[in-house]
Amino acid sequence: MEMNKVELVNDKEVAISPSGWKIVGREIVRDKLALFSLILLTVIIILVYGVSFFLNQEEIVTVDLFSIHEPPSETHILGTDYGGRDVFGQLIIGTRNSLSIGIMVTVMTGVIGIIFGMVAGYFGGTTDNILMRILDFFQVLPFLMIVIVFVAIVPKYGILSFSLIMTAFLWMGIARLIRSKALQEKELDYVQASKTLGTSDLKIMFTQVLPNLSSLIIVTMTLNLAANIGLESGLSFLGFGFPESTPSLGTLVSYARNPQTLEFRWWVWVPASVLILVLMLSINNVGQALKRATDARQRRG
Amino acid sequence: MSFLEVNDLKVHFPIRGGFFGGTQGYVKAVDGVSFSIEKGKTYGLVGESGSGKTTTGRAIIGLNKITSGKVLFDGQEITDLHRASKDIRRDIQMIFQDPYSSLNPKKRVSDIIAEPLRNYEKLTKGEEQKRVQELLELVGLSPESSLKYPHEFSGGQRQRIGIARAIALKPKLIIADEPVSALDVSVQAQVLNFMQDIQKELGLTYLFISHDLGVIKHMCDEIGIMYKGRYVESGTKEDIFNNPQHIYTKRLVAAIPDINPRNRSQHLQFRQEVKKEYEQAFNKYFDSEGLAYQLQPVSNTHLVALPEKG
Repeated sequence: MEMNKVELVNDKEVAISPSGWKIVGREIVRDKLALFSLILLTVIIILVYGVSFFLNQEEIVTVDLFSIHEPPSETHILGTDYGGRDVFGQLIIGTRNSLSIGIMVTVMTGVIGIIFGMVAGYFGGTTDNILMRILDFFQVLPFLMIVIVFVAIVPKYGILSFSLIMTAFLWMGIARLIRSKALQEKELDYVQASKTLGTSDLKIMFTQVLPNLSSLIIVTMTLNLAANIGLESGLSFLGFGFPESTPSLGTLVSYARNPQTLEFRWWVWVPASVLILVLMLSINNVGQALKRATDARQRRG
Repeated sequence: MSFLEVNDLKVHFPIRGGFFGGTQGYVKAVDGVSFSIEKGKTYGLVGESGSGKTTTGRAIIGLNKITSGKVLFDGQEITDLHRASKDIRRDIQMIFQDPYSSLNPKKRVSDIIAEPLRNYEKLTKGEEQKRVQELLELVGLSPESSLKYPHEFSGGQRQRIGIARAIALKPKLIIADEPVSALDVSVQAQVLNFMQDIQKELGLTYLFISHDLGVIKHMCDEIGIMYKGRYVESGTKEDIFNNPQHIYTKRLVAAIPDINPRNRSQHLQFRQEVKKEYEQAFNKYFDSEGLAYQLQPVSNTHLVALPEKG
């Protein structure tokens, strides 16, 4: 018992370990690029959602034949497109739509994927086998084809229905990732210890195992957010996303398919393209900083 | 009646293979083990790697499925521990071998130690913190430790956290699965003595699993020696160390190093004699599959796996 007293003295000098959010905060402040990205991202999001509140989508998407292809001026900050519609207004509403879809799809795929993967990986055996075959079925469905069919069948669709159809075909990746990690994690002694301490399976899964996968989840979700915004823009660019009456970043970029627009009317497509680039880069930078924050060995702060 | 009684315990793992993934055979990790532990005593389970000693411990606490056999705890059957009442489950706790993987790296020490309390006792936050502080003090860690994460501790300190968690519910039986084999030799004695102290203090019964005969000799009252899932010999500490009957036990006991360097050559010669005997008598003491025979009583406390006569 003598040595215990020695430990007592030593421990008093050590500061209390910081909690999770403090570590994340410190990590982002330490990484200047991530800090800048986060600020930029916050500003863009607040601006987009704030300004779009005062804009009237109906009015903006109404064709005005008297002001076709106007370059940037005082009435139209970013000029007009071939339908005489204000590009700035479309950009703001388009970014809001794209962001909303990206966030909704990421959250929904995340929730479905985490629950599905965790149950499959934690229980293993027959449960795992059945769930993975269901997953395989979803994986072999041709995503693009079904989205095209969906666009053809449903004449009028909004942000929610588009998010749902994307979610239905995008949750498999994160489910597989979580499953593979849960398979590894459940073999560790702390899970066995929790079992012997009388903790229920459900509690072990979501309060013991899940925090250990948090870094993986955060990074995957952040990168998925960037990818989902890109995917939505890509589909819209190809003409399978939103119609022109619902602007998104993709529809704006798709105007550049017209060679005349591409060469002489930069104001139609450059802002949207730059915004896609900036959004995806910023989200990535923040994601990388979060990734380091969740792993004590990689931390800078 | 004994406190913990294990009757003809068998744990077999199926070997899956073939085109349709059918069962091709079984690994008989534990094959007919019986022993009993008295209250307040320490029972040592010894054996080489893969002899089934850990599986036995894990089967008793319900981490491995029991193929057949019975486990009686305080007169009640706990063979299927998940069905057993919650009161019994809280009376049996386990100390794990690896102090690095048995503590959740994302949880603070206070959460780790409070986990069993949250499952079994409805305490307020304040009461819970008080209990955690008491437990930390009992295992010799400072109260400030409760806000730290496991990676901030050394192996010995981590093992103490594991012990604090195991004794949080004031259990009656603790299964200690090689609690010191992952620790530095200098820390081993510390943890072992500490385990003996709390045994006296809380009246614990230990099932002590180890491959280190020195540790077993220090800790245990009764000993069982396992080889390939079966018992080869069991008895009191004196029976095993002073009067080993089975050649396997003899060889194990002969392998304990002698501290006196003057006896070195003598000891070496003794070891070689035992080795020779082991090789010559192997077929006599083990059956055609290389497994031990049924246990035969040699004295009241001493059982040895000898071939049946005749």
